[in-house]
Formats: sequence, structure tokens, C-alpha cells
Amino acid sequence: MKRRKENPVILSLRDVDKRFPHVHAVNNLSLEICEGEAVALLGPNGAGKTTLLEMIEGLQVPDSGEITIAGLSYNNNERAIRSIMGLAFQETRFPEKIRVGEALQLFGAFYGATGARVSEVLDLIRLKDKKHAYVNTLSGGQRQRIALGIAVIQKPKLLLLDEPSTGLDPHARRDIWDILKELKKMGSTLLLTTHYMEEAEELCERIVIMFKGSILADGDLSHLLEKHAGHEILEFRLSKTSAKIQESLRKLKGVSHVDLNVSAGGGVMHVHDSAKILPEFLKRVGRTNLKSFAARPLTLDDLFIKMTGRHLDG
Amino acid sequence: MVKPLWQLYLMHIREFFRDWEIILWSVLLPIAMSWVLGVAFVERKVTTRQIAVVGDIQQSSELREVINEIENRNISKPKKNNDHSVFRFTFADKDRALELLRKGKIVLFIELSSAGALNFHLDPANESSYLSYLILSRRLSQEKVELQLKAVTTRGNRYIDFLIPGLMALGIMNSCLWGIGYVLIEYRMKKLMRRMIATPVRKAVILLSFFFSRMTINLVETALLFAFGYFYFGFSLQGSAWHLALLFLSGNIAFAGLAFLLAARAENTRTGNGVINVFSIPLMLSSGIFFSYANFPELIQPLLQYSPLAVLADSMRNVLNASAEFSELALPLLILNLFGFFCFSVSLKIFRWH
Repeated sequence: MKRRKENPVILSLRDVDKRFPHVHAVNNLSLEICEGEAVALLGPNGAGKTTLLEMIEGLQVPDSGEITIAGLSYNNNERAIRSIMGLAFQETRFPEKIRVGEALQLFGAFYGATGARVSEVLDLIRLKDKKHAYVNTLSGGQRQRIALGIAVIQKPKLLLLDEPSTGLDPHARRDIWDILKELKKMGSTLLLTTHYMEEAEELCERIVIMFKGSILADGDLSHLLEKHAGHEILEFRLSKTSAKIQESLRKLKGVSHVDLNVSAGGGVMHVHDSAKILPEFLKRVGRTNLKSFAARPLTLDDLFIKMTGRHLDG
Repeated sequence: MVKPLWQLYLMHIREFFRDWEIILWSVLLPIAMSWVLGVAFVERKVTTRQIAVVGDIQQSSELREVINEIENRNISKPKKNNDHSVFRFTFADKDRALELLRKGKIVLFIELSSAGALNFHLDPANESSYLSYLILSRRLSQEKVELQLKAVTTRGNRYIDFLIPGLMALGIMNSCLWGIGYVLIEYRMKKLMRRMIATPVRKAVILLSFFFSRMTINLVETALLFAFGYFYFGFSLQGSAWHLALLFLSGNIAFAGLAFLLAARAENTRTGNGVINVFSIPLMLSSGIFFSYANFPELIQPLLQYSPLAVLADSMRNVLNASAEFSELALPLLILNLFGFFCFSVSLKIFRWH
């Protein structure tokens, strides 16, 4: 699915800034999301993702800047915004002695949803057979599906998901992804934060990388990878290494990044085309000096490490 | 507004009535308390006081005469359906008498000196011992004084009549503070409150749902306690049911307001637990629920009688036991409602929604 820039803007942030006593959480940030887009907001802990999301949800007030959702501002249209926006927090614990159907009915009543819609959502989140089960008898994945069901009960124009599959086992995570893909097919606009690169790659066409309160990169996944890091990764191990070899590899044409551990002999290179670069690479490191060699496609994880110097969950 | 309110109300009611542990503690405990305390203070019709006599009784004609008289008039034997203070005498040597006194088997012992004087050995701090001493010493110095003590047993004046309205008031307070205050903090901690306010539902609707559902639960609790008192102790409503309903509503307003205030800032249930206990325990002990606050120093009594729990308990006693007129209830109703609305207004200003 292409980025739908031709569609109307559903979320607009202009010069949004937020400071706390000891941290500048969001630094003069601007962002626009169009209807039908699926956007992943990535960043390590402390990058400002949660604060940004809370400001979009209307739970935090920005110090300066403007946030509009479908052209509406929280200053005078708070209830209208809330009725078109669906939220799923990372963790919401529902009362234990409430049945699944009752939880959906409760939140459905907040949005004026009908009984038929509750039934539809139970189908969507695949919990129809658990309609009469108490919430405390459900697994973590099933509870997260209720949270998702509540988030979409009113058919929201904008769906905000804060780490929707964190803490779930791979099977439960896959279930959540399947539901989100179905919502995408229905035309929902998604903005999700995640620690899982795989989740961002699987669900979103547009990636926004946040670091220290600012946006480091924003774009389609393939463009980001090409623009910021190249196409492939070369991982190799040498018998003998030196600073001279490292310097020589850096000067190779078509290499955007070299990381060589001189003492251990291991190295990583970001390259545009491994096949083209291979003869020159072998010449510079010495054919007999090469112990192992592997090329693989560049991932979002590699890009993230290159841009922030940190792993996503770090 | 009605549909969200109704669904929230249903959720609170379901949460309560589906949890047997909560029902056990909140409904059965007050009934059990009224039974234990009621039986302890109502069924005990005879107070028997054991007294030891040390020395040769022939040396004191007055003591011999009193003991004979007590025995002849059968005062030492309990009579059915009468409340007598009964003295039972036993003869012992001094060491044995001291041992009995130490073990609490006797309230005092009388030692006859060789000169014929009577020495009373007792702990003056022990109320029962001192009372026995007063009765006996008076009887010994003024013969013909009636020894009998009679308890008042007419309906409305028994201890159980004092206790049940107090327990009803205490039940309303505890139910509101824990059922609203604690649960609000729990919702905040579980991020359920945050989830709710991120919907178009009005915050007032969320709070009102707590108030209405808790009032319903309190109505059930109070009615069950009343029914138990009615069938087991013959407790009944002497005043107007409307007056009682008004008091019930005002009590709920007062303590729901206090609950909102106490829950306004606490971030977790551990803090909430402490905050609620800091208010509820002193109120429970000083508001004349189990025993009259007249036992407290006179200086602080005016303060105690205007605490919201004392106002509610006293007014409920006035309606339940003494057919109070509306004019007598006007001030308590005003106090309870003003207190509730004041607490509610302050809580709204400082409430932490997430």
C-alpha cells in the first residue's frame, strides 16, 4: 500500500513542544498523517514517544505548538475528537468480574454503539465464543484483543496503539497483527508505537524514528533504508585486522558505513550492492585473511542502530 | 448521558455482587458484629461478683448481718428476667484470697482485723471492683439500703438500639470510603480511569456512577442489618421512614464526597489504604458507634459530636429509636450535605484522572 498523501490529513502536529522538570520530552516536533496511512513510531526508551502519543490522545497538554485531529482542536472540540479516535494502551486492566461482552457493551455505550456493532467487534477480535467469560479467565493475548476491540468499537477515523503486542507470545502477537491488518484493509488510519522492528515492518508502510524528542527519520521503509543506510549488510571475520584495513574499507566506493572490531576481527559494512563490491573488498582485506563472509538485506534494526547508536529496546 | 451512566452503574454493581469475598466482609460482618455485641450486652442479665472474706466472720456483726440478709433475701441468686447485681461470698485465708484476686476470680476481698475493723482489698482502677466496694461499704454503713441494680430493658433504650443505628452509619461510611475511594485509586492504578476519560463520556458521569452504585449497595447492606435487628432483637423503626431515607441519602452524599476527596491524589492502593485508614479509624473510634462519645474528655466532646459520622449515627438513632421530627433533623442534614458537597468540590479541583 502506498502512502496516501492524496487523502485528507487526519492528524497534524505543528511545532509541538513539551518539557518536564528534568527532560525535554518533545522538541518542537511537526508531523502529518493522512487518512488510510499506517505509521510506526519507533524510538528507544526515553525518546519521547509516549509523551507525544499522550498529547495526541489529549491526556497531556503541549507547552507550545498545535495539534489538530480531523481539523479539530482539543481547545474547543475535545468530545468530538474523542468520538473519532480509538485508543489501545500498552496495558489496561479491566475489572476482573466483568464478562467480555459486558466490557465491550460498556465502552460501546460511551460512543453510542449498538448491540449489533458489539457483536461485529466480538467477531473481529475473535472472542465471540468468550463473550460470557470473565475477563480474569482470559490470557494476556485475549485481554489485549479486548483492548483492541474497545479501541475500534466506534469505527474510529484514527487508531492510536501504544505497543499493542508488547509482552505477548509470538502466537498471540500474530493474532493481534492479523486483526490490525484486517482493520487496515477496512481503511483505518493507524499510528502505533512499538519496540518490535518486525511489527513495524509487517504492519506499517511509513516509519517515523524518534530520538531525544525529535524526529530523526520519516518515510516509507524502502526509501529510508536506501537513503540512510544502503541496501545490504556485509558481515565478515578476518584473521588479522588493522586500522589501516579499516580505513581502506571506508574509502571503498558504494560503502556507507564500516564497523570493524580491530582486536576481535569481526566487522560489518553497509553497502549498496555486495556483488559489485566483493572483488575490491577481497583485494583490500586479503583473500587468505578472510575467515568468513555473509551478505544479507538491510533491516530496519540496522538502520535504527546506525541512526541512534542504540538498540530499539535499549 | 443516561446509557453510559447505566452501563457504568451496572459494571460497579456486577463487580460487587459477583465477588463473594466482598459480600462476606461488607454485608455479613456488620450483621455478625451486631449479633456479637448485641448478645454480649443484652443477653447478660446477671452480673455476678465474687467476694472473698478473710478472718473470723463472728468478729464483725455488721458484716455477718449483711451477708445473712443478702442470703435470706435471695439476692445472691439470679432471678429469671431480672437484672440483678449478685454478690457471692466465699471464705478463704489471705494468701488464697490474694491469689484469687490476682487471677480475677474475685473482685475484692474483705479482711476482718482482730479489732473488728473491715479492710477492703481491691484495685480501685478496676471498675467492677470499685463499684462492688461502693455498694457493700454503703450497705454496711447504712443498713436497709437496697442493693439491687436494675437495668432498663424497654425497646429503644437497650444497647442494641444504640448499636444498630451506629453500625448502619459506620457501614455507610466504610462502604463509601472503600467502595468508592479505594476503587477509584485502583482504577487509576490499573489505567482503567485513563482509558475511560479518553472516551467522549463525561467525567461527571464516571463519578456519578460510583455514587449511585454505592448507594444501591449501601441500601442492601443497611436493609439486611435492619432486618437482622428486627427479627433477632426486636429492633424497629420508631420514626418516619422518609426521615430515615433522607438521612441515608445525606450520609451517602457526605461520605461519597469524602471518598472522592481521599482518592483525589493517591497514585496507588498502598497510599490509598493509608489515607483512608487515617480518616476512617479515628472517626470510627470517636463518633460514638459502639460506646457513647460522652466517655471522651468534655473539652473535645463538642468537636466529636459534629464529626460527620457522629452526626449521622446520632440522627439515625433519633429517627430509629425516638421518632425525631424533621426540625430536629434539619441541622444534621445540612451538615452532612454541606460536608459532602464541600469535599466533592475540593476533590474536583485536585483530582488526578490518570
